Amino acid sequence: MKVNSRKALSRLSLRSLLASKKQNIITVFAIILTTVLFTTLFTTFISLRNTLNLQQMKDYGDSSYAIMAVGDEDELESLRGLPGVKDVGVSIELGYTPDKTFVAYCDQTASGFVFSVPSEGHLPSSPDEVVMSRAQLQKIGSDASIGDQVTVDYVVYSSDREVLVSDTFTLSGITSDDSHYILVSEDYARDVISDLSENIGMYLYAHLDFLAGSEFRVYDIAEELGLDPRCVLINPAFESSSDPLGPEGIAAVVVLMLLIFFTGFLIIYNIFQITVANKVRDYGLLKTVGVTSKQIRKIIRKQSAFLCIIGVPIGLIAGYLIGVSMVPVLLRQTVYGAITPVSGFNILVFLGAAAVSVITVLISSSVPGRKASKVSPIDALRYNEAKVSVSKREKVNASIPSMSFANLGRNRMRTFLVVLSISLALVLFDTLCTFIDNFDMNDYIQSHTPSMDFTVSTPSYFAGEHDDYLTLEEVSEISSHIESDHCGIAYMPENFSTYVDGRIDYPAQVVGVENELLSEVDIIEGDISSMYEDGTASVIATANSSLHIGDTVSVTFASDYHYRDPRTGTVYESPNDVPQNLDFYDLEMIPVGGEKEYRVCAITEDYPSSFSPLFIFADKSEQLILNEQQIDDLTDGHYSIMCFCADAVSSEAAAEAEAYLHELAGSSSHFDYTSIETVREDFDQFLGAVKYIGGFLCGIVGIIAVLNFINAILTGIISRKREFALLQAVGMTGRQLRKMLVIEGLFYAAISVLFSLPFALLVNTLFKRIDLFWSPSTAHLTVVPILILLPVLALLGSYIPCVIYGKVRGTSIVDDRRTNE
Amino acid sequence: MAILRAEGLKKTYGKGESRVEALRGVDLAVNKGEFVAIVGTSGSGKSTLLHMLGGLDRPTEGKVFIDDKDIFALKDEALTILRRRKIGFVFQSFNLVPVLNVMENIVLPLELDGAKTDKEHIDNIIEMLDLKSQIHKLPTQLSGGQQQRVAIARALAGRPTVILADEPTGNLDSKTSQDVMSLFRVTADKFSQTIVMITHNTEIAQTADRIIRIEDGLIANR
Ligand SMILES: Nc1ncnc2c1ncn2[C@@H]1O[C@H](COP(=O)(O)OP(=O)(O)OP(=O)(O)O)[C@@H](O)[C@H]1O
Ligand SMILES: [Mg+2]
Repeated sequence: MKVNSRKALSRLSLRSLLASKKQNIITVFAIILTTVLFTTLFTTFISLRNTLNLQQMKDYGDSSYAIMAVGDEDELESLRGLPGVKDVGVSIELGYTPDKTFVAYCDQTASGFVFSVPSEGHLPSSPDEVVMSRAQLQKIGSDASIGDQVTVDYVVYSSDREVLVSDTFTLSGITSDDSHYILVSEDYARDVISDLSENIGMYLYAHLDFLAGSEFRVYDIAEELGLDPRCVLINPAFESSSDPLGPEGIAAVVVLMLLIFFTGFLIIYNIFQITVANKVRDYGLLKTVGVTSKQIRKIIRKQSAFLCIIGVPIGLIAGYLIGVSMVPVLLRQTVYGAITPVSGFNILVFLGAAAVSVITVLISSSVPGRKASKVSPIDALRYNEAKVSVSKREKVNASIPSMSFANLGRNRMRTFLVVLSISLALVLFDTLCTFIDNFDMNDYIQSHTPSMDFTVSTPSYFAGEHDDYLTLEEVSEISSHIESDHCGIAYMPENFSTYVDGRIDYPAQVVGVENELLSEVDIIEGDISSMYEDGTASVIATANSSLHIGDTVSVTFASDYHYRDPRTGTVYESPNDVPQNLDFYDLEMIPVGGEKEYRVCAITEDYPSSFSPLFIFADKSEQLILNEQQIDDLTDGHYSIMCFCADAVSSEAAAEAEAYLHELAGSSSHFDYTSIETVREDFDQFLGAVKYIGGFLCGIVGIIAVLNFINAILTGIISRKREFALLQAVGMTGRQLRKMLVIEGLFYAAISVLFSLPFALLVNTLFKRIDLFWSPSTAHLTVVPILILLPVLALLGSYIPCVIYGKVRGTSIVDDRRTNE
Repeated sequence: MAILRAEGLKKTYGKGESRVEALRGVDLAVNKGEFVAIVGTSGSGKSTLLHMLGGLDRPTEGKVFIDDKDIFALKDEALTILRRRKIGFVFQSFNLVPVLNVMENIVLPLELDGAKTDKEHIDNIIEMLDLKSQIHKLPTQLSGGQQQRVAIARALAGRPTVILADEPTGNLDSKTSQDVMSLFRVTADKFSQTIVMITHNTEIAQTADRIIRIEDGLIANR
């Protein structure tokens, strides 16, 4: 009969665990809660990050880590099978359509990377086949289905002239709208290139995906192949600086993690602490039999591990479900409100959350465990004899409230922890209420509403992309539905290709507006009356520019670029003139095109919110406002409608226009608009999310507080059962005993409220400093929410002890006697 | 040869006004196979002495030797291990682990040691203590006398060098007390087990080979 100590210890751990069921239920609950919190946090974080990251990739059009421009098939072949390289896709880019969709050949792998795997049909296999998305078909005005003929017009990449190609294909497949590509077959691509060969290099691209951790090798690989590092284009979605959640997001996760760790620790520590305190005698007893300190610690560790085995899996599942349901709510707060979230299901999330929970449990149980291991066997033996020594010290004739109060002081640490966790919930709740209360809708609307009632444009404008524009016919159709006495169009140059004083590095931002809209510009200095004159040279600059009143600026609208060698000063008019031995990257580009001189007549703080370009180049860009005639002259007609702005004549007219625009934006993905109503919706959504998430947090912290409280009361009763029996023996009635416990509960509540008041004020004061969501001048602090919770606390404080006492007393005084003898 | 030896044992509790000198210099030697009874009035220091002898507590001054080894030279952890290998305790209040059944209680110290249980030996003990029909019961399902027999079985299971018993009959009626005492006697004879036992009862003390009287923290001269 060979046995080892592990078995004996396991048996001891398990049996004594099973002997104290009530405490275990609370502990398991606490473990579940902690795990739920961690899992929710991680799942939400990962899922949010994956979703935003995927969206970044979709916006960029590619999901491979890097694209490498390679010279020929051989180089391509040598990329495959390199260590660290997971997948290589190949594409040959031919050119682009007028609306900037690429026309290219992609192999199976590459089509996966560029979100262009056909959802119906197949990739082009013969030269007359093509694959495109529904959205692209719509843009060229076709409703073809698979097998139908489609004509694609596009410009072939060419360095000196625009080679327009128009070909008719058979539609062989349809991709999702995420695709930025129109796919053709390899044979077709090679034919086009060889037909135009003299001016076109072969654009052969390798889309590289790496095994995790090998990404850094990409430049080494390029070097090994003898490629210029500039042939490597890293996907911006993978750059660490473009983490979709940003440093604030990650900081928030870390803070939340610490908070959860702390609350989890608080409650689990507390429970173990109390459990161990109740079993001091048992541990001492084990020591007389020869259980070492180490083995006692092991017993407690085993018990926590066992409770983890029950609690953690439940917590993981529940936390995952909660996390998944929270992602859409959070997503609505980002610019990607409408996208479908990617699941955060990741085995690492589970392992991580489980690990953090288990660590929390082990740390929280290790302190009480150490305490238990230090119990001296003598004390355990004496404990037996000195059964009533605690009560002896107490004056039995003391008043009941003073006895209750004295009880709180017996285990100061426990009392403190309970008070702390109740206070935490109170402070959090108060902060949330103050936040919601002070969050000023008018303030928000004022700062977020454009200066005019309606701004209408395309979704692309509102997303800051500026690659889809309204047409004049569309605007006149829209304006006919808005009864307005003050409206106008704002224009922008095509391709953003405007430069100030020939500076290529900082494209200038230019907006041209109809005269009607000039009055919307808030002038802080100068006079704009000269801008209404015919052929005027006056323009408005924003305060972000380096320009001042009276300055002359020369603006170029580039229709072409020349190349200058800074070392020799030679200017090459066409890329074809550039000698073979020179590298384009070493040359300066010089914009050439219509050039106009203007004089700054006025300065405005910023573009009016109604027609501000939402694409910002760089801090150093000059920002100008021109009138309609000026932008027409400057760009020689190459300008687009940025947006149409209108003020309604009356509130009825506004309501009608709102209804019309709402309908319009809902029915077509080509239109979008902002108005007071849409801002109000945004506001409601934002506030809704604050309430949802804040309420969730408050709820969790509140549950933790109540659990802590129940636990303190429960153990307070269990550990004093013998003492209660004595008190009853000397004449205390059951009613009086219950009264004592209720008063004890009320003391907890009262102390917690008193404790939390100054903290709530402090936190609110700190919050008030942040001029983010409310104006500090009008914000008012309040502790009313805490006071409102007072009766709830009082009710819980008196109800819980009653219930627990009733339950405990019902079963066990006799049992307990017997067990202890 | 003295298997258990104490030299100049002193133990002082508390400080200042509440200072108690529980032991004031005790010298003692117990030979192998000897059955010693310690008697004395309440508060004279008997339990304190027994605790020191068993290494449950450290003396203020003096040494205890078991098998000629100074046990207090050991660290706590090692002392605990020594205790479970060489000493069997029996207390007035049985001190059985309530969640383990009789058999599990008896073999607990052995299992904790990871030692091979000598099944024959255990069966012998159980037979002798008449616990055969009880081995699957929990301590709470046993009478006081039965519980104390389990405690004795547990003390014997590891073939300890010495059994230390603090008023083992204190919670038992006189008939049961007699039974327990004769068990001790038999054990001492049959296994030539060294036993040190505290008792209030001079009649019970007569069962022992030798009686030591403690008075006020010192061994009284006979
Ligand atoms: N942990 C302790 N702290 C303070 N004083 C103690 C402690 N343990 C024992 N004493 C004191 O030491 C003295 C001896 O106690 P001990 O328990 O050894 O007496 P005893 O002879 O076993 O008495 P009894 O027959 O009543 O069990 C007593 O005066 C007791 O009050
Ligand atoms: Mg005693």
